[in-house]
Amino acid sequence: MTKLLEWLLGASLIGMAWGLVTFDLLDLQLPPQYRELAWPMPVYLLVVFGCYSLATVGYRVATFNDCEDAAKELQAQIKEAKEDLKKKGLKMPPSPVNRPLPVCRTRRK
Amino acid sequence: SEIDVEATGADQAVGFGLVGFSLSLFTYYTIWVIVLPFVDSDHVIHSYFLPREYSVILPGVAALILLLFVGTFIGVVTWKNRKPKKVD
Repeated sequence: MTKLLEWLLGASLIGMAWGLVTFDLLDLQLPPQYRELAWPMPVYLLVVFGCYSLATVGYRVATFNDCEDAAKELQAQIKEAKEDLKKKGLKMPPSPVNRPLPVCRTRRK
Repeated sequence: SEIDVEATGADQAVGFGLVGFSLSLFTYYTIWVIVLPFVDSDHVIHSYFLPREYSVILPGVAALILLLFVGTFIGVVTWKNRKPKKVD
């Protein structure tokens, strides 16, 4: 069975279980609190997933490190390469005044 | 060798702000949806929460507004980048 089919099967089973509880299709006579809990579940899971995604993005933005040394080294190398190519007669396009600093791939220290 | 410097102040402020906002939203919404059904209906905590139907309606409305923003943004950017006769 493919992964897609596995996911669809799992989602369908969960969906059916949710439908049974929410619409009381089997007349299970569940306590009212559990029925109250069940019916917003799809929206609740979506909101929780959204919160988790937002928190992950925010945390990784906050802990992302700049590498100043690597940036300076890179800019020196770019300058050196440009001068070298100018000597050999290549016309360079104008470079932007504020080159943004490169950032490291590392995240945690 | 590479010396890692911390992310700039603005990045940290925005990042941790997002984390704080997400945690607050998660906590409030979890109490609303999961905890409240098991709390006596005459408890004072219920006065801090809207009727249960809004716990589904409000995220639905928020999603529609988000879609509206995204669609508008795409429309504006596409309109700005239109070129006469040919679109690259």
